Amino acid sequence: MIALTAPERLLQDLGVTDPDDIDLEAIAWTMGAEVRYRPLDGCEARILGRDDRAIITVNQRSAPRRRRFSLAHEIGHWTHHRGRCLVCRADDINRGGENRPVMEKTADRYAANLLMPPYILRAALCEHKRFTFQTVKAIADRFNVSRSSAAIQMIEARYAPALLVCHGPQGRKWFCRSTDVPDHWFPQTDLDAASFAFDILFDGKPDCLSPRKVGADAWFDRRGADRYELREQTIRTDDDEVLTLLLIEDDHMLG
Amino acid sequence: MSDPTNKAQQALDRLTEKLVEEVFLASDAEILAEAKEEGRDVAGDAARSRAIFAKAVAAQGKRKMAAARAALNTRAAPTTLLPGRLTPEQARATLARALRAAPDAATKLNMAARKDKGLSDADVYGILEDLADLGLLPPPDGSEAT
Repeated sequence: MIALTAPERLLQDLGVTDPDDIDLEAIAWTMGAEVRYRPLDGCEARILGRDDRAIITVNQRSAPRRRRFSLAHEIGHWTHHRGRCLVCRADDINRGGENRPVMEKTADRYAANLLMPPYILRAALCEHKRFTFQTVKAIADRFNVSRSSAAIQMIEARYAPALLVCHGPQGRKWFCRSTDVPDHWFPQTDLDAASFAFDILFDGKPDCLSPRKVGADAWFDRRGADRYELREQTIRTDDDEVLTLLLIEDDHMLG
Repeated sequence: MSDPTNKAQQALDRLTEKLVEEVFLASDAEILAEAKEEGRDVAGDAARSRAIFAKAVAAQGKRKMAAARAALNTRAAPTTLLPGRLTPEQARATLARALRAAPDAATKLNMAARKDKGLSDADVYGILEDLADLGLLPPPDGSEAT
């Protein structure tokens, strides 16, 4: 039997069996937290608490799915960091990267499991055969989250051996890797000209419609990488940002 | 005169109690062995029981969620501090006093202000409104805290 995470136990206690049942404001209310929306200039969301009562304020100007993740993130803070006043900047919420404070990572993990509870996600993933950005979009729409949130949670769920890498013109912003991919497969900081991501970010080429074969040395600066191939699918997520899915299919890379 | 129907019911209740007591006293292994002896599908029975239990828990949870949604739909309106009531300078001074009373909060808010473009006047009014609704707003400057 798979152990449930704290958000999963909470959702099951509230009878959630479908993504549409995840009413974050009502969930917060059951925990003593009231949710408000207002324009915020200095942060993305904040939580002010006293004893067992809190007020969570989320930036009204943000996109709906961003607001939803920010709210779930603050509920995570209320669960794990009660008694502290927290103000979360845009960079604190749902951004990869190893150097972020542990508290923010904890709140992000909580948010991901609250919005895409593995006990519902597993069943949803069974309806899809391949890990592609088309599948990611279908899951993102089903759970009302961003594509990057959905893709990260699919990586965490070990849907397939894969890495998710985000790049901007200044280099790699963040990445995550499923646990079945060995740690030594560490993506390069700068995009290689042989990668499809390079063409999309710097030459304005269109998104990859499906994962395509590319030499592993286009992504990993490691001895022997040139002996392998992997599949890459890259999409543009912002004017100056691309998101890449790297699918590891060669068992020798996983051994 | 005693009611024979009532007497029969009482006897039945005693029998039921006795049977339930026996089930509770029996070990899992004894119950399993008995069920198998009777040719029952133990795994199937367990799965059906779990499903019934899960359905009941889910129904109860959905009622709880619906009650929360209904309660928050009828919640009281939040405090509004019209900017006319406090000038931006007064609002910032009030916030500073509130934060002095809660040093940990002060650290966090100051950090946020340093790292980002800072708290705008609207942010300050908003924080004061939230603090007021939490009962954390300090008394006006010059008066004693209670």
